[in-house]
Amino acid sequence: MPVLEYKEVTKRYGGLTALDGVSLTVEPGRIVGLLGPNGSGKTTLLKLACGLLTPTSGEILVCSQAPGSPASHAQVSYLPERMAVPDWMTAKQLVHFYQDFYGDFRQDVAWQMLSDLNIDPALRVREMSKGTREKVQLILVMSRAAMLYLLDEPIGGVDPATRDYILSTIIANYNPEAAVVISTHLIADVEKLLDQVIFLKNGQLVLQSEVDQLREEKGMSVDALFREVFKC
Amino acid sequence: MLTKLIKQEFRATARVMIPMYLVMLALAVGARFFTDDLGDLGDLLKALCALAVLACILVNVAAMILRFKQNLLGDEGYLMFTLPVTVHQHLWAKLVAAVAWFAATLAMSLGSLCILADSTAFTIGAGGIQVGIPLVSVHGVAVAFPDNGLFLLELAVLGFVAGCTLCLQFYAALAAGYSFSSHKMALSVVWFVLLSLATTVLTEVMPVPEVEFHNNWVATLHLALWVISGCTAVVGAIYYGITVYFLKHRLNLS
Repeated sequence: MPVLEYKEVTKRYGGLTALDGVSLTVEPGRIVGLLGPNGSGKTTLLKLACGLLTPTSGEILVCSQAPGSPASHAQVSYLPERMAVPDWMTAKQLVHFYQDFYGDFRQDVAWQMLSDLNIDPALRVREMSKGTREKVQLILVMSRAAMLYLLDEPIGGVDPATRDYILSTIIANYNPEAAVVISTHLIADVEKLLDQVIFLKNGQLVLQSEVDQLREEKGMSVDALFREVFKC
Repeated sequence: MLTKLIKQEFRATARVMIPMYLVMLALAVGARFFTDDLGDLGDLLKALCALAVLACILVNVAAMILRFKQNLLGDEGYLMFTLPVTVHQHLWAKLVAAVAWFAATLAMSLGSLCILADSTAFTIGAGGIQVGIPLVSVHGVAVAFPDNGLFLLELAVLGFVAGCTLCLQFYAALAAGYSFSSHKMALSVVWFVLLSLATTVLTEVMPVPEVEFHNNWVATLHLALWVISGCTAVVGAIYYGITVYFLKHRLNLS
């Protein structure tokens, strides 16, 4: 049974069509790269799955439930592209906040990751650098044992060394029965993780394929294929 | 989950409210006990204290509105609306915290005024909530009701309903205004004005039960308080419905 399913989903903002009849499924145990140029609808696609937006038409199912309900929120661990955690809280308070609200939150995993990245739990978010804030937010999201992880630009603002740590963290910490959808521009960095890729262009699904199959058929890396498909 | 949200609300808003109360009380104590020694400066301190009481009330209302905007309609909304809780729980957590702070501000303001004023001129009866005992005495004249307990309950209900309705009018306007893609704050103001106008019209046409004044003025007062609470609750329920609709179906985080 798919963890995430879009059926003919269209989303319009006034006269602008952000998504146009998108249908796709994500199976459990897969790491999926959601790729596309700016404005292709990647963030909208993820926000719809979290219930942060309502589709204009079509249907979305998250673990067989409509998105937006407390039951579906309990299954989805979402990393937004912007800082969403309150900046007056310390990392320690945030860990307790997540522990309070999510039954699947693994506090020991969070403490370990904070320690590995030398983040002082007593530091307030507003006192952290931009990169550290992003790390903290990702740590909180990945410390959950959710069924679906939706990561919107998880490595955009961090240095290459931290990027490697984060990517290994994603692999090491996600529940093997869960699916991970990663939206990013840094394809070369995430390519080695991906089982599957989804290409979006102007709100339309251009491609959904297994990475190995794609490399075999096209004879090129996902990064190279992306550059070819979305050449300006 | 609601209790966890309420705990979170208190934790977030206490950062603003507690220091404000401490400043207000410190000013009141300073003005009360050091006025004679400080001369003109003491009078200035008294005036500052009175201003602080007023500011405290305004800041309280502003803080509750800004908290709603920042926590649910700003970037924090990405976190809050992905918690496994309902929109109703979000709203009630905000309302309970806001009304509790309104009550605390009222208590602290009265406390500051009591400290500031001559203690013999304005006192609150310690046994005010007991039946038949004077609630308040001003300049030695007792203001008493035969059933102070019921009267206080009615005032508490009215205070809760009015506090919630006040917040909900702002919440509804903000939720509606922030559902648009641009000019969110300007459109929130427009919505607030429209809601105010609609409420004025509604209260004009609302079939309010007639409260007839008769010899038993205490019974009349009780009835009037329940009628006012009921009418306010109806208006509050409409604002609540509008807020829930926009947060559920028209949420448009930047």
